[in-house]
Amino acid sequence: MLQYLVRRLLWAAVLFLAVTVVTYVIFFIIPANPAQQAAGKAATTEKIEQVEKFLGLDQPVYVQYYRFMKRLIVDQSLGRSFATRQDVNDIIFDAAPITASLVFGGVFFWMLLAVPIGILSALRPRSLLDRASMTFVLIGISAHPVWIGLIFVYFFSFKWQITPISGYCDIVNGSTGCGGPIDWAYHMALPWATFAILFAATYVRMIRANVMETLNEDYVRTARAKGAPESQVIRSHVLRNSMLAVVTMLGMDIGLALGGAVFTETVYGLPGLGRVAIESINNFDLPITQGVVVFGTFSIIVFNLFVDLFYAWIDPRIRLA
Amino acid sequence: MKRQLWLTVAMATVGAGLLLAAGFASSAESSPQADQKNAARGGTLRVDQTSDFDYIDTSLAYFSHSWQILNTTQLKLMSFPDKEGAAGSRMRAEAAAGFPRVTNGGKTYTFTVKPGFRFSDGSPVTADNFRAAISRALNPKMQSPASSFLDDVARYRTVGRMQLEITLKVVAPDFLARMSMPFFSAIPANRPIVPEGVDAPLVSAGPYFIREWVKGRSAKIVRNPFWNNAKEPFKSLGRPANVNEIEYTTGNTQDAIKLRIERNQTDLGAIPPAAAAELSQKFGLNKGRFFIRKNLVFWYLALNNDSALFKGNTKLRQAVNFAIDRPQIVRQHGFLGGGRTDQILPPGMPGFKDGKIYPLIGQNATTKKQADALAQGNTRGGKAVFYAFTSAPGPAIAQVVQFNLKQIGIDVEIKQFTRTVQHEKVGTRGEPFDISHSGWGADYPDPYNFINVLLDGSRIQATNNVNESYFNDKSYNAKMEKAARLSGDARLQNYGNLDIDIMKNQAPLAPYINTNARVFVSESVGCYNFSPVNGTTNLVAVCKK
Repeated sequence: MLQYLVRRLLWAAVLFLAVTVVTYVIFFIIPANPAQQAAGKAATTEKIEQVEKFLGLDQPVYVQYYRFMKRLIVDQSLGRSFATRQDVNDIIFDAAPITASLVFGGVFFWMLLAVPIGILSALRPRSLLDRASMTFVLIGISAHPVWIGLIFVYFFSFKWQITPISGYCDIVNGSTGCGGPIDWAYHMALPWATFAILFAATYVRMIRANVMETLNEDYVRTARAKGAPESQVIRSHVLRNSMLAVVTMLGMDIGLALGGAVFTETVYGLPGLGRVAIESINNFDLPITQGVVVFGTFSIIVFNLFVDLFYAWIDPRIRLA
Repeated sequence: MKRQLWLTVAMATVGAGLLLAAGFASSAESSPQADQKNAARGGTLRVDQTSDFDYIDTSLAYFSHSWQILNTTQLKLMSFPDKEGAAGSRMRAEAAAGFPRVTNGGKTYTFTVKPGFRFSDGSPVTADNFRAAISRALNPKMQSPASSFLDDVARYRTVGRMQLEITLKVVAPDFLARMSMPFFSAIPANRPIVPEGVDAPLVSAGPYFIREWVKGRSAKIVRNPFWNNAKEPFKSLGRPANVNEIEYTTGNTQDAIKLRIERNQTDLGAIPPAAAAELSQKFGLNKGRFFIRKNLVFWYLALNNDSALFKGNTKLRQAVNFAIDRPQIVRQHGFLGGGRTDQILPPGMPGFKDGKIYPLIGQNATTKKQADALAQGNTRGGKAVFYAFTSAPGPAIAQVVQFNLKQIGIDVEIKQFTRTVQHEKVGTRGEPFDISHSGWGADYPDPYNFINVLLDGSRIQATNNVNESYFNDKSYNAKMEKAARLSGDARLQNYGNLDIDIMKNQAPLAPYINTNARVFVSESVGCYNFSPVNGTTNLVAVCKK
């Protein structure tokens, strides 16, 4: 187990290095100089050179990358924004809880939708419910979250005034005149719903397929032959086995969900990591983009590591492999 | 099986219940404040913005919406009245007792600060507070963009308690206009040198001060308790300061802002350009809810005077100006997007004269004949590379221009980049382009900021050029230099004529639009005011019902 853990940790470090190097290289391939933007629109060449020096952009890429890594490892600092000179650590740690609210709330709702619909569809294949749920799946997979978000905002917020049009309230203390769990949930309801539809669709299909496959297993037939009640068969034999793959996928998707968060946060004006990333890319603000990438990579690596270790613990075959 | 169904129904009910519960918790959402209705003074103005301020520090802030908040909260030596149109573009003394005394052959400016102004912490405003602003902007540790506007300052010092003396290296009559920028507002003399900028609460000497700024989320501006419009020196300035508070919300999309204004959840903010037609139909134009105001901005096609196609080819540059279909191009900026132009100076700019040089009415047989005649024998292979930007209306305009120039025998190859990359590429001397799509807005309302900054060839450098036409004609450089040294009416006359002269006889670029600001306000806004100089809503003069 220890050897497995060490191997996974080493891979995680390599992955982390690779991702940060790629982000750095991409930024230097793009022909845009943040110093020119920071210096002002009619700045002289001398002024731009001063700003380059001030921002550390006068050094070769590998020196800049070395400094970034050194700062990250020694000082645990992601540096300062080129555009606003704010501490990137502060920006990331302010935005991360909002994205976490969106992602984990979204996961709760998408599982709330996907599990019952998936199971029912599997239990009654080709029924009206199955066909209706497949239509829902098709819409969820096909529609872009921005479109879903705009439609939701128009009807739920603007027309029927059930939810706010956009914005965010902190769960604990209000910084924008609103705050507390109720305001927080009220502002997050539509983003969660949008997020849930995006992912629930895929999960409904997967749960349906897994449950149908498990229903045909010998041990299910045996359980029924032994006279076990249907609910117990479904709960103890079918669900337990068919959910194993779902849990694995969930572990990976929570990391990937950050990509979906970009769109959802933009539509609903949530000041999370997705919006921070978009704004920093638009401003060619490498330290913030790199900060989001580092944080995202770290989260995904930790999450996947946790899932892998969990699996290795429950399934010895994985450890041996 | 039945239990399984019940379980599903129960789970679905819980989910729906949570959503509904969230819906019923809506009372905390900002609703129209009934107690503010029908009150011309007082109340809270709610402003939405899509992105945050870059800084609130006067030495660093450079975004237009950052200047909007600074123009609301800062006290400057020189400024512009809180009036619309031409009256709002006439410079006046704000903290200064009058226009400065100019000596030393036009190189030394002595400002006298009026007594009585106070910062929001109660401390009095003196000449030293303006000296501190210049000193801080020039401090290398601050790396302030303001330092570019102080390149010609030789020395500055306070004379006594209320006088500030600034000596320039050369005569520069646009210096006063530069002093109207928020960079040079009064700041406490002990404001620390912090490269990341100071935070809220921000002590300032204008009608309001910034009490709170939650980065990326919100900001709150409240009255400066020491600003009293009933007394001098405040009274004669006539800054209305109608509302009690201004609350900014950051991060909503333009679509969300439009819906929030319609639902009276916010009072004003940037709306999608595509909504202009619907809003003008619904609320009428300039009738209380939807306004159109002219900006000091023009958009143009820069014709690269360094390229093989346009270098020394005045006739082809003029032909382009005749050939482009301005109404069609302007239409790509959306409904009420702006007015057509064929000149560099916008109509609201002091000194502007209408030259009626090129056709603004679109293409017809006459304009086609003129364009053909000028292009005949001057197309030099007939190929042009057009650097366009990817965001709207860039691609559509590039296609219109491509079609227009095809009519005079030029095949245009369009290359698209994001706006920042396009700007940076075009700003680098030697970049292989013939035409570029660009826009320019005033930092301060002086013709120098358009004519000299955009077209003086002696300022061309290796990178970061704003003279994207690379126009560099010795005689015109001299004319621009001469105009820059003049002052008063002679200066404005000279610049007005020079604008027409350049466009008529050199045509280094092809201007096509002076853009409009399209503003939508909520039903609870009682009066609206737009600052023509800053190109943004003047929050000091807006009032609630």
